[in-house]
Amino acid sequence: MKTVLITGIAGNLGKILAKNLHRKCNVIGLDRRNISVLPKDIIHYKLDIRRNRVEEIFKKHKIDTIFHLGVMHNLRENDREHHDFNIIGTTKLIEYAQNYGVSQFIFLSSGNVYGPRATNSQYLNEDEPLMGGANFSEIRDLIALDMLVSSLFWKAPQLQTVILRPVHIVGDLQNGISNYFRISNKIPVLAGFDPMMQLIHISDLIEAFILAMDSKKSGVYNLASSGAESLSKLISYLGKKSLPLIDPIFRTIFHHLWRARFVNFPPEEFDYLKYVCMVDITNAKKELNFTPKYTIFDTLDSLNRVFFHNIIPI
Amino acid sequence: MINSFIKKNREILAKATEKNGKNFSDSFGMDLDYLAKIITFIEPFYRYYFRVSTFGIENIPKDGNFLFISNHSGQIPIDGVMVGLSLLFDKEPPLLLRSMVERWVPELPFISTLFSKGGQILGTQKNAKKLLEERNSLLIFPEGVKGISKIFKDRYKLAEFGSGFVRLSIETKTPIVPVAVIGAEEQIPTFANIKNIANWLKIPAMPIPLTPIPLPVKYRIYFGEPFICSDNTEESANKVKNIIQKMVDDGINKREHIFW
Repeated sequence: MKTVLITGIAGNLGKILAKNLHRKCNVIGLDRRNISVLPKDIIHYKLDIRRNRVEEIFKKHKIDTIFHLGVMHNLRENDREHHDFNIIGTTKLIEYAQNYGVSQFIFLSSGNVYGPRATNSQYLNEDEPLMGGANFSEIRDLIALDMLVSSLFWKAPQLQTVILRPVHIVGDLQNGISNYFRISNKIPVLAGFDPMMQLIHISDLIEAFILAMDSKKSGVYNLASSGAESLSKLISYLGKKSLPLIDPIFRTIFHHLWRARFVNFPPEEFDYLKYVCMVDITNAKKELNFTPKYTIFDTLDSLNRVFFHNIIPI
Repeated sequence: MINSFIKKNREILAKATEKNGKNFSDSFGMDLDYLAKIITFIEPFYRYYFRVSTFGIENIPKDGNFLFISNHSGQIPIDGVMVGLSLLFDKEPPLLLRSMVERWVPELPFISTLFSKGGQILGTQKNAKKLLEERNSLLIFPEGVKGISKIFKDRYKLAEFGSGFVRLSIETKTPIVPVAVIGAEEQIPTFANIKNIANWLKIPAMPIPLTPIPLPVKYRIYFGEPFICSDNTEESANKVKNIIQKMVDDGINKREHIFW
């Protein structure tokens, strides 16, 4: 039986992955947050990923696979702490993976590393430059991590390294995009813009994690559930209405509201409502045998499964 | 009344996309209902203002997808719209033509939405390749801005051709159909293109037009026979350019008047 380490296990995605794996693997969790409701056979270490004690885990258990989900995306966290946690933490993890004979390193990056841009082709493949940080500094951390992990392809060819770049993950999660679709009955959009979007269902993403673990291939893979639709269609599918905002004016207003902590939607994310940032998943289909089982509309349905109060006061 | 026109155009679009299956869904976000409305709005211009005549449309085989390569002129890209409409209205079965827009278009509110729902896509090699691989037909103007912003004295002299379309055609095994548009050159005569101002305003061209609105010139669109380029060189692009230049020259010789 394989032993897997899941970082960021206290997050919703980490929990779901752990529940999917614990019957066929020994699952070890690592997170500095407290964790609730997990199957009893999962061993959880409540530790900051940067602490030296993390090495003890590698000494104690023979870890075969690392699922690195523990990337901090908290936009409210101080920049320095955010950067330090992500970069130092991941560097250490990579070091342990090499020193303790781990055979697989699976990293959850994001399709947002390409960034929404006016000049984007409709479907971006894995070779596109990672331009997501151009306007959105918080994505720069993720891009740095993505590149750090991809350096393993030549630094540690014996280690199977997989980078997954899913598009917006929507479902029972507390992430920006899921919360965006949960905003009251009127969803803010930018007047005159209606970009095409892709979404990914959590189950499709979990499936990709498992496929990556079962395969022997290193690589970078874009992921999305099937189908792409314009933002306006997604909003009307949810039975909601669009609230058109005029870009430069509301961007400035949101900038001040965000800084005053009145909204949880950083103004840089406006670009996602303006330009396309869609991915080509041919590579994942071919190399990992990834076939999305859910459509973009199934993904939106999974959002409605849980009741949620409005997070952004609009 | 208008609804019946929209319905008629929606049926033409349905016929044009029949081969893609019943529940046609476009991976680039084209919306056929929306497109039918746009077409209904511009149809009177096609029929009664520019009075488009097509020649050689029978050269295009019934099935398959093609890369249409055309001369480009007239300051604003009405020529592209007219070629697209002629393939919907005059060809049997109708053919839905896609075309590509400049890189700054997605930054424009409303226009970006109008174009993307109307089936126009951003002009990148990857987009063009994907579109052709999905068996769509595509219109390309290899002259680009140099062609459309020609001043009056240079009319019907084709500008230099980019060679990207040859590679595209070979890679996706799509036959090229040469197209010559006659009439568009005279729609907005211009006597100068002030490049300094264009550079300063960061726009592709700054023509000085002699008319505020396009003149009601008669459009004549000639379709040549489809062919496949054997090798990916600039020479192939030049060959295509020469074919189109000859079609343009022949068309002008046959034309008796600019306006009718």
